[in-house]
Amino acid sequence: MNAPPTPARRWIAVGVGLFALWQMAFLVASNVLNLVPLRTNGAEDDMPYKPFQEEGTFTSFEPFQRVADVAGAALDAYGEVTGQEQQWSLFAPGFPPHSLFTAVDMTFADGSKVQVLSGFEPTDYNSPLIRAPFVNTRRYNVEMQFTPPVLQHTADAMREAAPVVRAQTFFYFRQCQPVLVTWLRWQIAQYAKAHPGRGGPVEVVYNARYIPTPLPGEPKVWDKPVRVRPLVRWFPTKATPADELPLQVYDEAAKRWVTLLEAGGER
Amino acid sequence: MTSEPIHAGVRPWFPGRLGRWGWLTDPVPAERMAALRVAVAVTLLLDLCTSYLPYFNLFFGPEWFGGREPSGGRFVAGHLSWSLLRWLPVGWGPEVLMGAWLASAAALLVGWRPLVSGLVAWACAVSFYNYNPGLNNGGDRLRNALLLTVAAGCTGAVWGVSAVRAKGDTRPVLVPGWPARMLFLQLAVLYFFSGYYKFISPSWQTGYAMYYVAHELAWGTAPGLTTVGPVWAHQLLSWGTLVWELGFPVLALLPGTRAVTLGLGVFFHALTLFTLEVGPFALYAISAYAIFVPWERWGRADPASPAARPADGV
Repeated sequence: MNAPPTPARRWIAVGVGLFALWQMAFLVASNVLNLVPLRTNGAEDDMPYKPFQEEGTFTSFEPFQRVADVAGAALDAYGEVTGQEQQWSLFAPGFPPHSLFTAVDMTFADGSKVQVLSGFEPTDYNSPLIRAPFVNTRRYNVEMQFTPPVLQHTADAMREAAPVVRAQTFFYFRQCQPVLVTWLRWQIAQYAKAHPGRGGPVEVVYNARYIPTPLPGEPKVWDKPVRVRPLVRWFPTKATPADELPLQVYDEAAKRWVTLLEAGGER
Repeated sequence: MTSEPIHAGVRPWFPGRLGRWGWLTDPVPAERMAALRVAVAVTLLLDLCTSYLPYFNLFFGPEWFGGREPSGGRFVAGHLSWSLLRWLPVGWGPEVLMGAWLASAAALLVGWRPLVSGLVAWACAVSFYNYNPGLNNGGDRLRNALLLTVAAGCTGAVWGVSAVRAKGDTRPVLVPGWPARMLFLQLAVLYFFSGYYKFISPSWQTGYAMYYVAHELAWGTAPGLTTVGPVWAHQLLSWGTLVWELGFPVLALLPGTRAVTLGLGVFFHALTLFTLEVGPFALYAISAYAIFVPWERWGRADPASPAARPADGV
């Protein structure tokens, strides 16, 4: 900048200035618009992108709503292209009164069963070992990526809001089937590596394990029974019919496994 | 030798009054942006070497999450997520792109062409981020923003192989300040809106949120230690967090509260790094605070001289 600017440099300066202003406007507007009810494209796949986006309309004056909808879509698009999606919550809305782990039950052709617990689940809840910071987080994220949709499902919620719980559970486990099948295949492979000659399971059940936290004011002792909830079931040795998804989802209220159809709907 | 500062980087053009707004246009000491580059590069290398590479086959192997089908979730109609890995062969694409990512991180560390190496690192980061979203947390979005800032921020003007200052030249080096302000804005909205979502949550209003976080066996890396302390201490921590987050955009700007606010931020992230599985989020967030440290004053004979006290990071 000490030398007189050339025309090319002046254009670069204009470009940099406009980029800087756009970036700053994007950061603020994108976060603010999350709070403004917008009409999204209605696609089911929006959920993992915009968990905090208020949906609907904020005004009956169509031009205002339309401008906000278009602005929201443009900001979302920029956020996706640059990997800067603005959805910040940092521990909000909060943690339920339990810890949640997952476990895989495998049934073999001879009828024998094994349960593979998460490597992150402490063997003694009252004296958990300290884990190294940072280095395991991505491995942890991979394993726990299927739990957020069922994390808040306390026993009370499952009783009092059964239809909502069912809808959330079925919606999510329809969406995540390819990823969850991959995770279950990995679990089977890891078990086979540790137990050579055992063969592969014929049935796999993926469970949530809710470990109640001592409530505020109670003695800090983890002695309440673990609540085990079947989530999905898979038959790895059976070919999946063309019109079905490979993972069946457990209907907690009806106490039965439900087959999801590829085109939508259940059987 | 004159003490007239060296100006590096492109001074941006802003329209109208914005062009005269000091907060936007004042340059910052090059050391601030260089420190950001080094901090981000060190964190990125640590991230790649300790949390990506040991599980690379699971995360990106073609038989596992690197296969085309599992990664399809973010590449759906109506969205613009992209990944170079989608155009590279599954057999060797992830390895090659990881190699490029490592090389660009190393280039950032030594300050070699930080615009190019920053953009390469950003492209790799977004590619891996989108290809296997199950690995990520908010820290990865922050990482993407940091890499863009490092690329755009003229971060190689000092402390690197592309430095503009000749050996023995002691003049201060200044770079455009808007990337530092942009990063401050990113932190400000990150904390403020997190605070807002907490504020409307009953769990944070009662103050029990931190109690349950501290007693979480899955997400906590040291629940045996974090459960120590009475319930009211967890409640105070919850409410304190709320006040700090909601107040950050103002408190970090006011001279009287800036140091304490920023110090609390680093403390908060360090605490979560060692007690929760937040991993990259904590370290990338701490990296961002590098722009707030007055590195340019250290080692100077007269730290009070005007040349050694240009506009600060925020």
